[in-house]
Amino acid sequence: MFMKPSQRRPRRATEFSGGWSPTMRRLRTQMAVITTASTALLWVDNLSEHYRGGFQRKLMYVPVVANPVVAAAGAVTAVTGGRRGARLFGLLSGAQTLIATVGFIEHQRGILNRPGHHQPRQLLFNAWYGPPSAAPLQYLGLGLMGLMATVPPSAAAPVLARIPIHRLMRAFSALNIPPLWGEIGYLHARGAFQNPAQWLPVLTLPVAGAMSALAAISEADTAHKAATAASGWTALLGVLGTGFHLYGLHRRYGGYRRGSFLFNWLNGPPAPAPLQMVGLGLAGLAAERAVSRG
Amino acid sequence: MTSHDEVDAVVVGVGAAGAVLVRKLADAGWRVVGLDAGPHWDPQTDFLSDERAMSKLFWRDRRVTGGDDPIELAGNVTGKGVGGSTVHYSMYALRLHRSDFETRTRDGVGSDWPLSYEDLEPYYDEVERELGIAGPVDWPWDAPRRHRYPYRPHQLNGVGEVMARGCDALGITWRPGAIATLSAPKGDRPPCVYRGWCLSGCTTNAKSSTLVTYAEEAVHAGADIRPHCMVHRVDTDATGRAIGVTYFRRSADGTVHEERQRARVVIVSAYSIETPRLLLMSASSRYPDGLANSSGLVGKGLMIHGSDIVFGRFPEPVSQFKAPPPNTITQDFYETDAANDFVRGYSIETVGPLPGKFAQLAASTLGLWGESLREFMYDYSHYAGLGLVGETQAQDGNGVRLSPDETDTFGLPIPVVTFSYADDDRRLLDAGADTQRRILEAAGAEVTFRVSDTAHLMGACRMGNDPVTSVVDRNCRAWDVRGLYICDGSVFVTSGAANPSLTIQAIAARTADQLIAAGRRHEL
Repeated sequence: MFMKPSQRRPRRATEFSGGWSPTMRRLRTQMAVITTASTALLWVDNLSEHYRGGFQRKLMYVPVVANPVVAAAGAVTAVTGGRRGARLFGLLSGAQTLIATVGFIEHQRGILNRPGHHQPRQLLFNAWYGPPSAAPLQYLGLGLMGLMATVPPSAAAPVLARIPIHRLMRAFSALNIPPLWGEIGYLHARGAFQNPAQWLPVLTLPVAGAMSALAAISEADTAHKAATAASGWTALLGVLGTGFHLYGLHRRYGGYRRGSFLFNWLNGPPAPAPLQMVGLGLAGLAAERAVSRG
Repeated sequence: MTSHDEVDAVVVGVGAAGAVLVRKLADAGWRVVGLDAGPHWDPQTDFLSDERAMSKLFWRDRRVTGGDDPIELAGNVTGKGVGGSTVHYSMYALRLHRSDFETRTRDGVGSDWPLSYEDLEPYYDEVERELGIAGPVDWPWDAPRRHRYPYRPHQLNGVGEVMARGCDALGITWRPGAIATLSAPKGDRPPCVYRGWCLSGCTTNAKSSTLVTYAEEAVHAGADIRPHCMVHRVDTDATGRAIGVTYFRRSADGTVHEERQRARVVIVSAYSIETPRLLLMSASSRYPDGLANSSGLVGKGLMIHGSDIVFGRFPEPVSQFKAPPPNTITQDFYETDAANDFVRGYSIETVGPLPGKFAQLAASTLGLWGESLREFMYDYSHYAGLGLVGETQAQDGNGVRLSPDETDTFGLPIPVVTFSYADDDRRLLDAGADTQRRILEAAGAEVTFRVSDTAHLMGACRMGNDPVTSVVDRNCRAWDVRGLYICDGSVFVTSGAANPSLTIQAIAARTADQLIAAGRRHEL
């Protein structure tokens, strides 16, 4: 699907593409594609959740409004290979990390302000039915990916001189997994693990995270294989999870029938949520692919 | 008269206990017949979002109620149809406390049960698992549980938030209630969609009534459940052994036929009014005072729960109609406290009457009618109600007997039910209502009002270790009549301060196991 560098027409160097090796240019484009798609999917999830929450606070509109703009800039960047929109995408991705940080704090406050907050044993109950604790961290992760896909070579060079990009991505994957795992864990616990498949991400994601973390500190070939397997499994979990969540919607009263669908979509298993794992896994795979290409 | 071939067991009443018995015995390979006086409902076609229409779920045959504090009998304390009152009950699925089984020893009141909590504990676990009870992660009252609830708790509804806020302000421990409606799918049953029509029959099958759980599984296991069969006599042979039942069967065209079902074991599970009524109606020359009544205790010792509700009006809408009414609970006041002027205690739980019921309660309590009631009902959504489950003590003066001169449509003598609170019961009720009011006021209620109400029936054929002071033994076997078992809420010795359905079901599950084991030993 990607042409060899030698087959491509020479392109005008931009701040986005200039100064990078062809491999790095390709990787950054792929990351822009993945970030954009993930951001768009997360918007669907975010819109559903904040709509379900009745937009009780005006702050809840911020990510809903901001995300399409970020995704649009990302799409332009991805489609043009970085010749258009990259600077704006980078700026918006930076803003997204700020929005996500504020969101994360507000979500914790939302949980801690619920009745029974002074009883530590009620914390889990409040987390189950309060704002999703770690969801904004997925936003944060995507913001960081947007920044990585657009950062100028001059700013990136000092870091990349010390740590190669694929190892950075392994560390990034490893860091993304704990909050993702925590969120999946406590929400699947709310569902009482009624379907044994709900254990799958809970049991295997930490393994994938640990493999990515270990691979981040090694240049060995086995590290490359481990990181590839971890990212591949993470992506596969996302695909399987989406399938199971769509099946879960069908099991609710009314299932996909027109009169029931919106209610079930809002209150059933979040169908777009597992796709974040697909994004994370594909980003990791893209980085490993870049290594194998040298 | 049609006479059916002998089966292994016939169960009279396919409700909370009967459905459990029928399913478990059928699973064990028994040939079982379940007879129920009402219909075999189909929730998707028979249940409506219509409060008045759904009063068809209640047992509305003629009964006489009396005593100093007559209880309402045509409402939610009983049910008619397969599933019994679990079809319309409020779904709190609570265990009795360990102390409930030994109130005589601990507090000097009532009688000790012949069973302990530990005897029932595995059956509580079993029934909770089968029904998919959704409950809190920890249960801070009584001794710790061995297992977590199988499903996670439901979210707080408006009334639950009010109660939680009030309890937090007063330092009272609260938890989301343990309730029999699914919070996640179970088999082909979907999770609750929070319509809030639970007390009018659940149309989605999320509610774990025995209609859609045990009874449905029993049919798949090969049990024969016959609706519209009003049993009016337990038959005995010349040796005095129970050999079957005789009943009136109403056909679809309205005609009534008398039929007989012979069985090796007869199990009466018709609850605290119809069970003693049936035993008393089965009097014969051998048993002139009624079956299993050598102690004279059949129909005596009926208990209820004092269930006064305190409503509070809030400036913001509470939407009390939304989501299952059973939502939040405290049992901080369950046990005897030396500081009180009464023994034993109470639970406080959220309630959420639909507009019709709320209007009825307000009209009868506040004397509202016409324009004043209409004005009052504009604020329906602003009210939150907390209900009491207050323990009452068994008194022989409270109970069920047969009317000497009034009969029902089948020509059977109707039951006369008598109930009066003891002074201790009244003091407990007043203390409970005061706590309810304080919680509501601490949550910000502008005004409150108290509604007198009762809930649940227990006792009237109590179990025990002595044939002189009880009707059945610890395995629910009638002391006097071989082949006869009584298994429902009527065998309760004390009422506890918890909704009784789960204990009824646990006793039924245990009785089924005892029967199966006895059958294997050829000791039936």
